[in-house]
Amino acid sequence: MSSLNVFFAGVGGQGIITGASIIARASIAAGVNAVMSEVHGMAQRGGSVVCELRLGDVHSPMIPEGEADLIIGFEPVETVRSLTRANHHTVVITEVRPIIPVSVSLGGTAYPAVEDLVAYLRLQVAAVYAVPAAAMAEEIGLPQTANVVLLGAAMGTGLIPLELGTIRDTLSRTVPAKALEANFRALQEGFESTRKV
Amino acid sequence: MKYQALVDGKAGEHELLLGNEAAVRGALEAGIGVAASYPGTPSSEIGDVFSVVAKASGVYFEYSANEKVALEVAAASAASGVRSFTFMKHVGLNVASDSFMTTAYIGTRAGFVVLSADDPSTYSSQNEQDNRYYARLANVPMLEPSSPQETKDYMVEAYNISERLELPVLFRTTTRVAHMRGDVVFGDRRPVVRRGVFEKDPARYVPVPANSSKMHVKLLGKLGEARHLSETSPLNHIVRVGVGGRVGIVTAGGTFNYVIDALEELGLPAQVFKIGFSYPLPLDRIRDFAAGLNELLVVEELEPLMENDIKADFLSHGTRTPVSGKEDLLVPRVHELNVDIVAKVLANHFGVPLHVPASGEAQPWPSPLPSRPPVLCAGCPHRGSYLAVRRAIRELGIPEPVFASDIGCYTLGMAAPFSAADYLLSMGSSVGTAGGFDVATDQRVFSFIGDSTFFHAGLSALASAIHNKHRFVLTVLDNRTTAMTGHQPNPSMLTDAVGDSAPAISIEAVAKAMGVSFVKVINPYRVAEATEAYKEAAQVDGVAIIVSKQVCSLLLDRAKRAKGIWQTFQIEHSVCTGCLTCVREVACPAIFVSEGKAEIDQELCDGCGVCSQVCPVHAVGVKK
Repeated sequence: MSSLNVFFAGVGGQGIITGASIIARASIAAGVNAVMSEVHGMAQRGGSVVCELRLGDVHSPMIPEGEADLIIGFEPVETVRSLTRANHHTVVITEVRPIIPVSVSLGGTAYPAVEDLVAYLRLQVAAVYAVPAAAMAEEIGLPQTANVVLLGAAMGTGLIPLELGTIRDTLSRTVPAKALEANFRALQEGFESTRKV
Repeated sequence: MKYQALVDGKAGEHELLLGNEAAVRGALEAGIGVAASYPGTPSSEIGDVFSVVAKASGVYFEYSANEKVALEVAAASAASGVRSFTFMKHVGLNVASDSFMTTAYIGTRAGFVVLSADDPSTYSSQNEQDNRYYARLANVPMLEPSSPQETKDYMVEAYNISERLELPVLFRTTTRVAHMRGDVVFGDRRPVVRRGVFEKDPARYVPVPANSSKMHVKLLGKLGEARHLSETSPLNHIVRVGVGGRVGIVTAGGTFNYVIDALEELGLPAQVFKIGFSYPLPLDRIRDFAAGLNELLVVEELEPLMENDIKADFLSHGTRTPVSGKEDLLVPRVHELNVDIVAKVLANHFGVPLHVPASGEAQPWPSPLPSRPPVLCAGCPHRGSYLAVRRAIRELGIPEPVFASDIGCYTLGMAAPFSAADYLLSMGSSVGTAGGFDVATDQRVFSFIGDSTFFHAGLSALASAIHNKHRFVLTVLDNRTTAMTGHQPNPSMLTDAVGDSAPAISIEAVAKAMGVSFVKVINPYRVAEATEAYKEAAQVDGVAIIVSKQVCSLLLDRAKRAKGIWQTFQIEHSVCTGCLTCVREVACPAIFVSEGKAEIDQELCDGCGVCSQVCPVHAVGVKK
């Protein structure tokens, strides 16, 4: 069973499904099978959301425990929560800006320091790229492109067997024309942020 | 147009589709003329897609007031010679079941498919009932796809089977198939037949006792034919994994994917009988299949239905191949399965080691992480309604009120600090159960229902409550949409399912016409006024209705952004005393605590201003 397992974790409304779909579309365009499992409905109202993407010769769209090759975390605590899918060879990309859950404000478990979360990730997996995607997207001028910054970062790791150009082609088919330039920039800047020199 | 490919995609073209999107393409390839539904996760995207493509496809599509009505619209269309489709979540079929059962008796002329999207593990439902029982209860054939491609292909086949047998076909998916995305290769679209003629035939269509007893006999005859179709159907086929497997596995639906992946992960050879036409089961073929094998395992989600059918069949035919499933094989009877669970079951059964990542699994964070359950959105108008009712109850000193809740986003009011959902059964149950608590206790009762849910199953319950002189305060949380399932229209709105203008039914006018003496419309963003309204309503001896009218904040935000109107609130740090009343009473995801004082996340704030009205020192104001 040869496959690449990409696990997405974040909070409802962050563009996670859109991001994963872009890789899936690009993958199919490049002749590699892709299946995804998505979360819709109740779980979307500000709750934890995951999306599972598997490229290659597999049937189940869900990634077995410990079998994620790449984790793309859109929020630090959600990234750490997804460690159940990781092994010591997993590569992790994580946004660093926290979204504090209401449970914390109401006196529940405190939100850990982001540095501690990232440091812990580094102990558990092969490589961790902490990417300030939200801040980068704001700098670009279109905050909604944070998910594409993270996609770019995922491409920069070299783990996804696709050309950056294929992702760009897919973006130009799926993103409204007026937002395309910002999306391209987001993809490129994300790519640069993790590309091995 | 979004989904253009679903409308004009040619045979051989392919598209990355969600299972639910593939169901629409399948229905279009089958040439349906009428589709009707009531939204419910995990089936909702089917309706979302029809809303966009129905007109361009020449198909009539409506959101009916509830699933029973939707099924009736589709059944009558099919009886008139128009291929028809109705789809709903699993518990929606409970609502539709009264008419569904009879459609099996009277049958159909044109193809009639009833899709039930089940929700093992209750991702967005009140239960995980196994709707495969409905095929057995109604004696109708059932298909179960495993992937988006099969969802598309099986839809076409479902219409063929339905017309061949003149029976409705139950098309059963689960969350993981409905919400699985994969590549789908299209077939040809059959021309749409949008209108037919209803040819009267009372002996066939009117199940008065003299007719219905004969209909049952006829139905069982059709079920025999269905069994024959299942025995010869290509939807039931054998997949070999590895070489020389002497073990057979019978499986269906999404579980097929887990079985194949688990066998490959474990390196176990086996022969897998993939069941796509799952009722009636192809028992002759399964018996033949088992004859040459050492043993037969049945791996199915939820109830042991295939297992029991196969065991009974083997017993009556003297087939000696051992069959195991739920009890002997320890396949769980609760919650959804996955590759990990199926691999554990198989590894345990065959005594082979489980595959573990060579490098070892990562260890989870050593202490509990902050939980992130779904919450009412920033700016959600329900927050104002719950805040007001809680304040009114506190000010009136009402002890131990009971909150009868209903199905919608507002069920999230169950969480602290509102704790405003004490009892919940089903769509519309807030009204009936409110009456029950009033009749059986001395506690005061406050019930909550959404605008869409009110029309779905609240109306008849309200008539009953009024007539029987029940006393409770019913809030209709009228956010001008069906929010939880993705903002579908409902009968109180000015547009219909395909965006055409439609007569809107006023909830307050309906309540008054039914004889409710106290009906008050409030704006939940005005906390003081809303609180006063609740204090008044609580004095009413009978049913008091508060219509809390404010459009869903997600829709309002979209409209405000489009118009370029945007305001947020902020807390003046020097004025804030750190009393945290806003945090405790409003519990908005945009408010957080930093160094003992409240702050508002400007990204999340939606500008509703409710927090500014509860701050005792007026530290919250519009951000300049």
